[in-house]
Amino acid sequence: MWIPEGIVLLAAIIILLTGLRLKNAKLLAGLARFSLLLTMLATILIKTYSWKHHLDTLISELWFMDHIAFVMKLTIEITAWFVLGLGVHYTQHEDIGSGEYYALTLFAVLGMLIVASAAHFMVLFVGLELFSLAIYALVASQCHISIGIEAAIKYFVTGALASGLLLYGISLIYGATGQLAFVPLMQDLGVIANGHSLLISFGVICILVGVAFKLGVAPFHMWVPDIYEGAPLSVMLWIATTAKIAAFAILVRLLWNVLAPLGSIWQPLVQFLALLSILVGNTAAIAQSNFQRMLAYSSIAHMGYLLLAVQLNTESAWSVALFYMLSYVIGTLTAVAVILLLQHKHAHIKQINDLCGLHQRHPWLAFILLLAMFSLAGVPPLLGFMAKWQIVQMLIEQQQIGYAITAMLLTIVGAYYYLRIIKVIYFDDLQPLDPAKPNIYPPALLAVQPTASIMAALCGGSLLFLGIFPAQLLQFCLQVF
Amino acid sequence: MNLLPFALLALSAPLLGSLLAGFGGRLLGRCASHCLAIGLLAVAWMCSVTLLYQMWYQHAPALDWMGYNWLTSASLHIDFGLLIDRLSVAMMMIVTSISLLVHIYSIGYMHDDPAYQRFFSYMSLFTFAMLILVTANNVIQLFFGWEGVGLVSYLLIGFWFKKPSAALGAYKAFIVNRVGDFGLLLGLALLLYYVGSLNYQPIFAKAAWIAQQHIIFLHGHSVRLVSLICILLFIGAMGKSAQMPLHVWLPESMEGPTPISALIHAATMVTAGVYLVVRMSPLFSGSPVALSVVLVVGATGALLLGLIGLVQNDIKRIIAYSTMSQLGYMMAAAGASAFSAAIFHLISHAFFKALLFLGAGSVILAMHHQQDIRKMGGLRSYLPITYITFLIGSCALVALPPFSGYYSKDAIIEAVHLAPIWGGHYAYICLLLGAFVTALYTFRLFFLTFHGSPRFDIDKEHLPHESPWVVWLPLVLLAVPSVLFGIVHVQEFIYTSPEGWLGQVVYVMPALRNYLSDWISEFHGVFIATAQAVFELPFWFTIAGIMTAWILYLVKPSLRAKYIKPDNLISRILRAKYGFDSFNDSIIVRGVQSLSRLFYHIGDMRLLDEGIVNGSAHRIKQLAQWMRCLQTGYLSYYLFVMALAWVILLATWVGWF
Amino acid sequence: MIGLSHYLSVSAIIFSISILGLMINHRNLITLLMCIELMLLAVSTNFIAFARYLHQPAGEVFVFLILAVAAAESAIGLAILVLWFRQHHSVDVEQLNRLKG
Repeated sequence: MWIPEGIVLLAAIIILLTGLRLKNAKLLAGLARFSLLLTMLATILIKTYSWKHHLDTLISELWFMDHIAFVMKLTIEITAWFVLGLGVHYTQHEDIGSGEYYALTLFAVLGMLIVASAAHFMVLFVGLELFSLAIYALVASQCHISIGIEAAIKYFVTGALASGLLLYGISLIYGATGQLAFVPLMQDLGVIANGHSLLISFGVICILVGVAFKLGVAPFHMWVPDIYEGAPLSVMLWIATTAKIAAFAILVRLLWNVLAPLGSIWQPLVQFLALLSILVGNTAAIAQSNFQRMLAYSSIAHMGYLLLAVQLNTESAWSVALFYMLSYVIGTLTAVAVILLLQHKHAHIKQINDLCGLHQRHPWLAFILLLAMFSLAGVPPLLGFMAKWQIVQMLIEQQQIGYAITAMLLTIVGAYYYLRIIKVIYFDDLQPLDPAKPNIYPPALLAVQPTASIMAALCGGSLLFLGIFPAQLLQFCLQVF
Repeated sequence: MNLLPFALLALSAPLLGSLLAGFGGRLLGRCASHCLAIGLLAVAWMCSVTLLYQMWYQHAPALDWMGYNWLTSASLHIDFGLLIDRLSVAMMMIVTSISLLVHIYSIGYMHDDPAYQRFFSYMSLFTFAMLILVTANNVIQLFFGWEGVGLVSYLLIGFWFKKPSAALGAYKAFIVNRVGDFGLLLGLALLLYYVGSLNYQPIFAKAAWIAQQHIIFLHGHSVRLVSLICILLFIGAMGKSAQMPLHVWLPESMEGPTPISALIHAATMVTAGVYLVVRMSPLFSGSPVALSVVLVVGATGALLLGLIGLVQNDIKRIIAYSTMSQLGYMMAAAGASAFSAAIFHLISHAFFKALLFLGAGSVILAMHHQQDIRKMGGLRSYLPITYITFLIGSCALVALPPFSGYYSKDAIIEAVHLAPIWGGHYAYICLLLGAFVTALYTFRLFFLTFHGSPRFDIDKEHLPHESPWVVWLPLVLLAVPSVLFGIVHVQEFIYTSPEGWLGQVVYVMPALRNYLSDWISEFHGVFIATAQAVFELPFWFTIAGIMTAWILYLVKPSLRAKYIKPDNLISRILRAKYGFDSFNDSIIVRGVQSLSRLFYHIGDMRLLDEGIVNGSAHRIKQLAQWMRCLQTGYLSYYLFVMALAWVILLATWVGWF
Repeated sequence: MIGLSHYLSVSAIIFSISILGLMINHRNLITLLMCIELMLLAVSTNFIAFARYLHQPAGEVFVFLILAVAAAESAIGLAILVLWFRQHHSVDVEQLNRLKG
């Protein structure tokens, strides 16, 4: 049952030990990605095995083996595989120590896998800390770049505060019920749902704050833009995609597998957080000139939409939230993949204006970026539109028409900054990097990277394909919950 | 035999070709791009042939395939589905055939264009959208294809977007079509509201019920629902099929490359309106009023728009006016409930009109992009193949037996003659006179271009010469059906039953079935019909037209100067195109402009711009700046905000507690 | 008699002090690490008090995990801090403001 985690752990230790001596980054990257492939295979095999033999979905009150765990693990592994594959060249060129980089990413994956299966507060806590600590270190992995370290410190301190709040909440819930395992705890909470004490509601709010921090939801979002901007691009991609899925897994475990009976406490708060998040993310993104920072605010807004589904707290709403999460992750992955492909040793793409005239130099990459931006903005027929549509429809069905309208209006505001990128890449002229050297343009390829290019095209294509044929994915999401 | 794979393949092949030529164009190079686009289109053509074979010879039943539900919102289902029946197969056949030939032709015609791959990509995309339009099994998908072909048409008219007239023509086409689409959308909305579905099947199943509904307007005026829906749908068809008064965009569309004029603005896209009316025949047959409107608008356009062709001098514009006139014939046939005759004319027209346009393109190539027929003449000896094929096309257009145009047009005129609906006599007279006019302008064009003495500067070094084989081969291939199509297929297509070959696909009002039966009973075989031509009025009108053209433009051109003053009233009216353009410019455009200026000054600048649009954008930008300032960068401040938010959440909960 | 509520109050006070310390401290990064430790200790106190009260070992086990994680966290925090110190030769919190907006 612990084979996937075991493979990742083993690979992480091997890389950690050999990485000190072995300087061949390609080999290490290959090993890491190979171990992830094995993990995916193991995850699928175990799922089919336990499904065929009707094994219990809960192992000794500590470990879930249910659909949610399976889906979360699989998406974490797949996105991790993509993130590693896309970042190979970048990490090499940016002098990010390859041994530590791959070992830390694998430890982070291990933590995320643990979180996805956690059925007990202790397991959850250990997994959460494992991947958080690994990511703190990853953010600082470019030892010589000052803003990277600044980002790491900020992330570390705010993250520690959030963990503290989460733990405090857990302790209060524990004190009120005497339970730390999710399944019995949820039963107990179901019994006392109507007559809960101050202790429990304080605990719930503290836990909510901790999770909101991990998701990067306003007003606990202050770390997000700084860390996105300061971190190396490949690490930023980690935080924006894989870590977000893990944060969503925590959200699902805590709010759906534990606190669902106490919806009356957290639903109004989540509503508030969601709307604030959409507002803050979409408006603040407009004023940004740095691409990574813009993506950070975009992610804040997207997490707001996600919570708008979550606050309904029904099975189908959670399914839609999962669907939305997938659409967000694929969209972000696509966008950052293009930017990663365009990084040049002497010409970093940091500002949005560095993308001027991309269309003229790399029409394919420009088109993939266009797909990503359209999807994130929610333009039909792309996946992002479908996801937003599902949420809005769900809200209307639940008679929350005011929220639906607010969300749609703020989407229009949000479309502004996505479309600005499209304007820059299609309608602005190429700007030479340096007036003295008119032949070097900023959007220059780092190197010809066939694998990474194919991966980027695959992500972009799936945005379009799943936008046109969303039914299977949607059905799949509906069966998870 | 399962028809579905063929239909799906026919749809996806042009899309793939378009994507490959569009995105891989630079990588593939010119040759590989056009080979791929043409090869994939040939696949689509083969599929269409297979489907047609199954329908025509094996009498395969229609296929209504509900493929995929993309989106559902209350009663609005956006589905992807296919309806493969005789009508759609006939349309698929015509679209893929013409498109294939035009693709081949474009290799030669667009040879020197820098945006060669983009051109092929657009054409394949057009083919895809058109196939979507004709194979849809619901109106939403039809609308998707409808807008798709409109978009590609816009892109292709403006293909040489650096030329101001092309860009303007593209705008005009786009805007006028929006007027039509407005009607179409309203019609669709009414259908959705009353039927609760936009798939053909439920709509047609409820056609009888819709026919009995009334809508009550203010003051208790009641209107038949079905008439309202049909007229709104017909407004959409008028925009797309360039019927009066929404025809003004089609002449301007001639600014696009000539292959496009042949493919989109003659053979396929402009016939989409006719297709819509025929497809919606169960609804139209419920409303005599709507049928009369279709009949009268079509017949009026057939005559009046043909007349304008008499005074035009641009070779492509003359053919464009002829196209509008012929579309009028098709509409008139649909209005007279002779749906099969309308589709039959649509098919034969597609062949000979594409032939004429491509022939004109060949002439334009030879004349180094000179399009004014006053500066041509005597091209017969320089362009022998173009000459012969153009002659065949002209004969088919003016409906000389035994060319294909004769059978279709004769059937239409006869049907309209017999049709016992309001406006039938008027329409009959229009169409008869139209026959004369058609012959006159067609042969005026023909004689001025190919006969007489050359009116261009003869340069011994650069004599006009026949175009390369990729250009003349499609001409020859189109000439064959222009001659044979009518004589071979007319009997089975039109004269087997009142509905014709389309059979179950179309629905004719019971009151009109009798007249249609009379009409087909007068047909006694193709050869008798051909021989009978000399006893019929339209034939002599045509001959008269040709003779007039011959006398005025070849034998005695001096007569023209003597009797036709260049500034007499009629030719002034015709040259002003009945004043539609100036009316649009002076009343609609300027009216809208002054109205909008009024609104602009009062409403926009004061209220909307300052208040709502710019105001809100301004507010949001201010908000964005403010939000930026909130992100101070100080760690203690971040921690403070987090803790504060936590405390506030706790406090609100305590407050509620 | 010292009961559960006293323990809880103490831990809440410690928790608040640590959070206030995080917010008020503008000078020293090391103090931030200390405050984080303090916060985790407050939580641990809570757990132990509840475990004693409920007569359950689970809470006490959790405390061990928290302590272990706190050690790891300090290690990572100090490592990052050393990186910062190498470049800036200071541990001033106020200097951490190049990323903003």
